[in-house]
Amino acid sequence: MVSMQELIERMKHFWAGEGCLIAEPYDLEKGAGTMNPETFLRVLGPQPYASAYVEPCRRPRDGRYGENPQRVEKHHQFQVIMKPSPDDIQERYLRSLESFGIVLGEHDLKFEEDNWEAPTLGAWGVGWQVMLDGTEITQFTYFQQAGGFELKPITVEITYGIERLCMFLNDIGNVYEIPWNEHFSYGDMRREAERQFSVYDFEEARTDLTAAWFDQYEAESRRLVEKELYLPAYDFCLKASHAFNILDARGAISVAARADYIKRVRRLACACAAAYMKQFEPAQEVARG
Amino acid sequence: MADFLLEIGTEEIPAGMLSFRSGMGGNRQDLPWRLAQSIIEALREHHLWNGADLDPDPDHDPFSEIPGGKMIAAPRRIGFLLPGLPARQDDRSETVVGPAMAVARDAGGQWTKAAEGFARKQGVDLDDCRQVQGPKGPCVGFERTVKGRPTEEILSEIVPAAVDALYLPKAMHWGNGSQTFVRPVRWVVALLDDQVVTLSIKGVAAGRISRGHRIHGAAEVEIASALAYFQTLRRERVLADPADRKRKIEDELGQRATALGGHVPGDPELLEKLVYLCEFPAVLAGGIPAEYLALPSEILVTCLREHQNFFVVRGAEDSVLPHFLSVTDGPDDPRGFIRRGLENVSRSRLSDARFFYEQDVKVPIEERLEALKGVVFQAKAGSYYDKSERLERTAKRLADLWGANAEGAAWAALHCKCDLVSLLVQEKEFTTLQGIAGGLYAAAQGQPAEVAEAIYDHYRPLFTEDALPRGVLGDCVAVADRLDTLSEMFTAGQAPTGSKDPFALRRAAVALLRILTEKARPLDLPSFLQEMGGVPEGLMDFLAGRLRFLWEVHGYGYDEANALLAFGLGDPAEAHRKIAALHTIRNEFAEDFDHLSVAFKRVRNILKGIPRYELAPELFLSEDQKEGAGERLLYAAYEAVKDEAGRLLDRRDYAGALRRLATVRPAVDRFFDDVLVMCDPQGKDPKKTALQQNRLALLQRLVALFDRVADFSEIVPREKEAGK
Repeated sequence: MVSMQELIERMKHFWAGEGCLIAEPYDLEKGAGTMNPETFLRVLGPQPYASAYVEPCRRPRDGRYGENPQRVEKHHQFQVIMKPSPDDIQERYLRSLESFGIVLGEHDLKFEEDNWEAPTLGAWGVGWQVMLDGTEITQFTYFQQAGGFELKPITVEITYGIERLCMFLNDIGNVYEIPWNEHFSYGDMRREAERQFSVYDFEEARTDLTAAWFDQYEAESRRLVEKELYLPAYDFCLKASHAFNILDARGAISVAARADYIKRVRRLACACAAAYMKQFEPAQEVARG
Repeated sequence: MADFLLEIGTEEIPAGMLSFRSGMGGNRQDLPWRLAQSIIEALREHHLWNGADLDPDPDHDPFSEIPGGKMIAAPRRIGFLLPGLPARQDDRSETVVGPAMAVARDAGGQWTKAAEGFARKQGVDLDDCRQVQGPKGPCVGFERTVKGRPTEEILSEIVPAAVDALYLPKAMHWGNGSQTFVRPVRWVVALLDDQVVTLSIKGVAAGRISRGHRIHGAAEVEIASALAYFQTLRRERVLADPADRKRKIEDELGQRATALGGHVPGDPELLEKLVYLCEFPAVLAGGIPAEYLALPSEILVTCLREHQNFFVVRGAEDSVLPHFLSVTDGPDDPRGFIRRGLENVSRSRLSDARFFYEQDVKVPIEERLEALKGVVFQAKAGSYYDKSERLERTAKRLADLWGANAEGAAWAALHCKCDLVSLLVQEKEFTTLQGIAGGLYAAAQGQPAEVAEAIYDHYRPLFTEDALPRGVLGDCVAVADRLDTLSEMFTAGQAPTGSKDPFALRRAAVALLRILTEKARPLDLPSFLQEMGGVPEGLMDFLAGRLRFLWEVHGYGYDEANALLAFGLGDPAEAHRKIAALHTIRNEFAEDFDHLSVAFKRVRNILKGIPRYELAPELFLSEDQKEGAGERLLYAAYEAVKDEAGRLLDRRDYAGALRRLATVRPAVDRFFDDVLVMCDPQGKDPKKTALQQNRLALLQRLVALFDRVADFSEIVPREKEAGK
């Protein structure tokens, strides 16, 4: 058996060995590791960077009250970003799988086209979902744009679904049966939270309050970004994004309104990216400005 | 002669870019084909190739006309093997053209400064120059011999240029961001026989080191020579030629299915995708858990196909057997790991599908109607709820016209879009089940079989060769749906333009016309559309254009289509029956119709702008006059066929009518040989005027009879056509 925590250790160990800084999760709710400023902001601008970290991700719509063996409101991603993308990044990735305990020669592995797009982040990339015996275990993306900016150099992002991979490694069909360590299961750690958050997301969340929060977070983010405090501004952008996700799960957003909310979050994200990018503008222009 | 091999090694290129099937329009869009073809064209320009082009037919090997040539098109590599290149260009002579003679020599016949300048620049002596033919007249010039360059040198220029000029459906950058391609380029092999061609593609220098299968082959493979490439890679578990992979998959699918006591229905689209997802495909069988076999087979098969790329094995009468076949990339599965993994995933997918199905069936289909108000059909044409109400009315009217159960048609039409808000169809993997899912739910909820079937079938035909709806209620709903979409989109100004057809209106029109014509459903489109709210501008012409397209597919001539559509498109089924008859009878009586068409072209001109005259047989000249004999003969011929042909036309026996009508040909010929119709063009002589009007009246009667089938003046005589 490879426990959840053992797998995470192996992931960190491997990617630290590839020169990645091991960062920690960001302490706000978010739907994907990409939204961590460690990725969203670091992919912008010219300096090389490489980091890896675990990111807990909340997707209110995916909640199933702790009853579906494959779907959860909160899952864990292991996120790797490298800028510029190394020439042998695919080979490194395959070596990482072997280091987790997968004997590739005994399995069927395919890179299937899956171009990633995050409309709320003004970001898109080109890449694949990596399929191992028919299970999607990784999203592999060359970022092309983020926060509305064309990127150069290009960052590669590798996002492992930790639960999926752990279930695969242990040949388990039920996420709650994953051993977290030798004493605790995933179910021990997460099932009650899944139940409670599903009740909250689908039934209890007050839509009037949440919608008002969205407006407030949005206003605060805009206020802060004007003062060039793009980091706190980005925090409020993340909070607005999560409020939107809850409204969405509650079914409180019509099709037309949905597009509008997404556009509003994207504006915040793009404004933060623009503020962050100012530091890379040529010096004399900053002086003149 | 030398063999040239090019392999551009990349990270996994999407199957859709490698495969022809995903191409748009009629042109090949697949990257490897376009790459090879553009290099062949460049070689031809450089006098290094006088062989064939690549074969554009997707069902042929691209190199069918180039013996020994082979395609390289796999996830991690594109390129080709091209045999028969010369080692170098032939030396050839070339004419260098300078200034026009008028400026090159002065009045005294001496070379001018302009001529001297030209000679100096070209490094030749003016004594060696002479008068040559320039593009605008005589010029000063000279012949020179151009030394042929080595093929290798030319290749090193044209290959990178061809790659850079390729249209990329979706381009990307990687690394430092300076290069652009569909996926990162990691290695390049370029060999002319056994020599490396010095060139560089997207910043990668060519060599002779390729790579084997990502997992089951060697990381680096030395290619000894161009001809050794395919064999060498095969040893490293790569079938670089897609034809080899396709054959392997097809063979193994067949063998496995047979061993399991069944067969796999053809699925060219899925097969093609898998060909380009693998470098060394192998087929593996797995089991479908028994508890899911009770799911409707459409849902089961779609679930496994869309999520997992599985083929489901079918038994007698296409029943679903509890086995799937999966195409893996390379490995055997001695310990059953892969099979177990695939079965696990399929179990969770099927569990989701069953959940959706069971939830959906619980909701009475009528209750979903309200939710369609929230689904936009088209901004100006409202929601799917609005559309459903329009469909109800249209389908009911169609059922009345076609003597079908109007209540059933109305109910099916009103509810045919309800599955759009079901859990199942909202999942992207199951969108292809729209209509089908609604039909299954309606049946499960106790709707009459013909009503459920009408919903189930109403998206048919989805493509040109697809099956039509099975029953008349399905025809009503399908036709109502297409008419509505076409009318609303044309009204909203969304008619297709050029290559842009975002709402697939061409396909909708072809579907509509196929149902009406192939099932012989009578429908006078202009009056029916008028009745339903109006005929949008441009729609009838558009439909006529699509009908021409269908007729072309049937092998009918463009002139036959012109003849049928000369008076506009009315009832497509009727027009279809007429063109079939016209096509057949015209071939039977080719000479008669050739003559008739020539005559009718004259008649058409003569009758232009002429009012209708009364026919007065007593005015015909007497039999013993030449003109009188001609008139009387044609009149007699007309009288002889008129009643019977009219009866046949009333019965819509167009072939029979045309056979009768063809018999008037000798009389028509004779008439035009012997009779001057316009015998009193100025209207000066009352007696002659009466004669002329009577002759025109006879022609009017005759044309009117023919016009009931088609405008025969549009028929292009075969001889004339052949002479063109």
